[in-house]
Amino acid sequence: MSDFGFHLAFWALAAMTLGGASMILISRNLIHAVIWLVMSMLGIAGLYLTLSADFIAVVQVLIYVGAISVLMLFAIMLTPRAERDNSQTKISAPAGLVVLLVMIATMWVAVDTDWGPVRDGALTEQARLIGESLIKHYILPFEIGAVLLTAALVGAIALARQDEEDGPVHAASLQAELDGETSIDPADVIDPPLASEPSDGGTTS
Amino acid sequence: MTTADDTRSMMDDSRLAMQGTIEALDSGDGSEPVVVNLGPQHPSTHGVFRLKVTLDGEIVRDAEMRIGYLHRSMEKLAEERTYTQNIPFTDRIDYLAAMSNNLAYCLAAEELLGVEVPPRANAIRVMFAELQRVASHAMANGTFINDCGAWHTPLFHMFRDRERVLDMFEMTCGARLTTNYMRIGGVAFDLPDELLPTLEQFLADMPENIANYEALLMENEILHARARGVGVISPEMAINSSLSGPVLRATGVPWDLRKANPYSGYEDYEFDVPVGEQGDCFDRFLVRMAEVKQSLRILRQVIDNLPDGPWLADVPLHARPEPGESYARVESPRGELGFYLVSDGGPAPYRFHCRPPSLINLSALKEMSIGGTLADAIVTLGSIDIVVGEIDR
Amino acid sequence: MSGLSGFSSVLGAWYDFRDLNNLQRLITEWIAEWGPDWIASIVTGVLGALAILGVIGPTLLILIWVERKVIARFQQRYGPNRVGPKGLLQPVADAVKLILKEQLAPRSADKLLFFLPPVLIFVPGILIWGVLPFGPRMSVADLNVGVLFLLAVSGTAVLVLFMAGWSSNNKYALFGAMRAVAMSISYEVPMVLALLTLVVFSGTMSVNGIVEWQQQEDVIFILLFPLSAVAFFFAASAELNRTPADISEAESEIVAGYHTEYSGMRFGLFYAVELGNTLVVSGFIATFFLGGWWLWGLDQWVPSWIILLVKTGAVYFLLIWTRGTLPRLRVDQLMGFCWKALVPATLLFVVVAFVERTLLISEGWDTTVALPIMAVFNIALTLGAVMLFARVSRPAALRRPARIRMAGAEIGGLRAARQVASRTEEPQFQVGGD
Repeated sequence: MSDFGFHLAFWALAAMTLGGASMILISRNLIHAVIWLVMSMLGIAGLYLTLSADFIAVVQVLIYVGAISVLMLFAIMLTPRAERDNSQTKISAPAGLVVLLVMIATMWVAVDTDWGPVRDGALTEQARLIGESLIKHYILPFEIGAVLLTAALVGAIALARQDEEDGPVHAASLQAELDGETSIDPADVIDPPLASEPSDGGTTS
Repeated sequence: MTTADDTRSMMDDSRLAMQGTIEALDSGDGSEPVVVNLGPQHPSTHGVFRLKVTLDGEIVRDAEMRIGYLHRSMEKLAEERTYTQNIPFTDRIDYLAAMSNNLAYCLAAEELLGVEVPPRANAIRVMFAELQRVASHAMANGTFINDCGAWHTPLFHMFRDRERVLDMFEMTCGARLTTNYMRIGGVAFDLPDELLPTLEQFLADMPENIANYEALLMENEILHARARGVGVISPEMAINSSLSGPVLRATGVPWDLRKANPYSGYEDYEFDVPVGEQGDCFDRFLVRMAEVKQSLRILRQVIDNLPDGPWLADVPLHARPEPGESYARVESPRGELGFYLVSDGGPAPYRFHCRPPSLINLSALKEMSIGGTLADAIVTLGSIDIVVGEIDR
Repeated sequence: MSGLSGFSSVLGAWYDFRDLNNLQRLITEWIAEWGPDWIASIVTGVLGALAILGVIGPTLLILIWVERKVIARFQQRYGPNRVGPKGLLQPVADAVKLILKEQLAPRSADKLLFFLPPVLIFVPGILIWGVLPFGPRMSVADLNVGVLFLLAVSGTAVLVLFMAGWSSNNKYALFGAMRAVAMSISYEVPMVLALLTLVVFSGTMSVNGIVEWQQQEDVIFILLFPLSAVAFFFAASAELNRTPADISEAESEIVAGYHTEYSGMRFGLFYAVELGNTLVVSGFIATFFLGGWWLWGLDQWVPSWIILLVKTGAVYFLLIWTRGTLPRLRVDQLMGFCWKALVPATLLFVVVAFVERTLLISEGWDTTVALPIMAVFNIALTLGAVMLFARVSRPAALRRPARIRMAGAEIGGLRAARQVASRTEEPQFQVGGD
């Protein structure tokens, strides 16, 4: 656990994570910020790997990098005026204050906790243990999460359907026929019977 | 004919493209529709043809055509050449159906000059017009399926048959595409000896090839999903828009000039006119396949009853018709192809006008594609079967 | 029989190329004599990676040739046959041409984001080769969570597509990128569910573990879960942006989608990685559903990686076949098919897998008897589900058949049209309909 390779990996990954996070703060373009966030998330996945938590590391990549970052990118794409600069918004000062408070609180907790090494060493059957604890101990949050996700899915579909117009536009005569409100036979207008032809049904001229 | 209007709109388009794509995709409230410009350089607009499509998300709200990229001023040039010298022009008007163009023009000129065409010449004309129909429909259906995305495989199979027809053309008149074969009063050369055996072999081989196409394509779920219910037009609207050809017949209207207004002896041959029902892209595809089979039937009858005799009436090379006008129309693979000639007594026509089926058929594209998606608009355009040479002349 | 025993004496020697692990052991032992352990593991890791890269490079070139020749044969033409014997040097000519081309970048494109995608798209493409097992102990990294690793890494490719489309500052490229991203994340769901079926039924998330389960039970998964196999095949071909799902590259509509603005070798990298991904996905389909390197004992005589290559080639041919023959589906049809057909189907089989697994483990059914029964039941369920879906899900336009009638004596306008349409005899030609 204390050999050279592990230390190298830890410091490189820590630099990647923190570097990415700092670039988020510095970059002016929102899309660039998301890309730096992705780099940060990959760093965190690597850090999980150094703790031998392979399942969590792969799930971190699968969910955060594969899905959540795409979600954020789509949200930015569909937001009007997303290319405005960070400093142009009015709530930057109160937001900065809130972030400062959160940072102080997090640092306090981080310094205060006892981060001793795990007593039993790395777990080998992580997927099974996580699954079992989700079903046995944390069943309620699991189900609430499922309900929340379903509600989000249904809400997204409802939002997306809002501005859908119905059906193709038909030709005027056909539309009139579909509405059942015509008393003029289009054939009389378009191809009136020739004088030499016997008339069928004998209605108009 | 790009006007200042077009230039300005082209610059507008490029400004839109550079403006920042976030706004273009803003589909919240107060969204503006996107104008997408297809062409003139585009892999699937069947020639230099520009279509400005206004999209709202994926749905087409408006489709505007801008033509004129292939204008060669043929009608003006034809006023300075004699009637016979204009025949090569007609090849290039609809370059995928040169024989039909030649035929229509020669019929118009013969009407002006009052020339009687010998029966052998008529039979040969019918033969080559039907061969041209087979070749043109092979190309039309092949490129239609290409537009549906089938990566050229059915196209190449159909091109194999088209190659055989083009070989026969080359045997007879020396050219594959711009044939310049018909003359005023008949055809330019008699049939060579090797043509009839080749034609017999072709007629023997085709039914099996057509059966292969049907097996590959008719029940194809994806083709049905792409082409059924797409680009629908009602028969009333079709007649109102002066559509003709397979596009009109697919809506259910049984109008074929070979039967309604027979020319060149078509009244002597027995054939049917296939008629669709729903007027969508798939029906047009089916109508073209059925027409190919009917053309083979006509060819069989022509070969069996080929009369002997002269193949060209005696018409002076620089004929001067009486002052007057004439309009002759044929059923080209794309629809009603007409030539309107006005003579003032000189060796060259005073007015030479071509009624192009592609242009008239294309005027219904907007009606057919509004309400569908962009992919559907492309499929519809492919099913109308246009040749830009005809549209712009 | 003596020949066989002579053969088996070769087993374990370093030149026994049936098991490439022997070579790795040789190197590890040699290094361990003069250095610490971690140098050995780094060296073998690097050698393994270099081997993969060294194999993939020429493989991509050969794949280009194979694809073009096979598609040409489908179209009744020859394909490349000028450059080199039988056109074998055609990919080299293509690569040279692409390298020599000028690499244009739009002036208003985002510089960093425009440069990165061709480079980054290689990363997932190479990483997933690491978990593909070529033999019992021959995978670069036999992870405990191999299946999940495969899915996670293919998920990161989505981000690269989006970067490519966005940074081009081109409406067409962005349309293509949005479509590609929406399709990719949609089709990840049936892929995950199909693989979940396998994971649940075999009890292990390691790719080698799944192959060993198939070896142990003497059955290949395509017999047990045919619908999951087909769903995975289709979802994979949609992820790879191949016809019938290549709407994001549809050159007849939006020119080239997300890689419109990339020219020269940048485009070459996209193209090459797409082919490489096709090969590795074929390899994974062969591994998960066809047994991988195991073929009912044949892998003791024939090297197991040759067996895997043959199976991969068969699946790859199937992918080329569907590409060359089928037209392409519209994007809304693709999404509808994914969410309304593939997801319910794969979910159904996840439930079936859970039930059957419980029967096998908790109730202790004997596998030699139970597995054939389950296979027959699953196949019947597949056929039933497919027929039910086909009946239920036809859009309205397809319920009526497409008919051609021959107009006999009626020639005219609307009246004649009505006369033709009202004829009650059988139409000349009819296709489709219920």
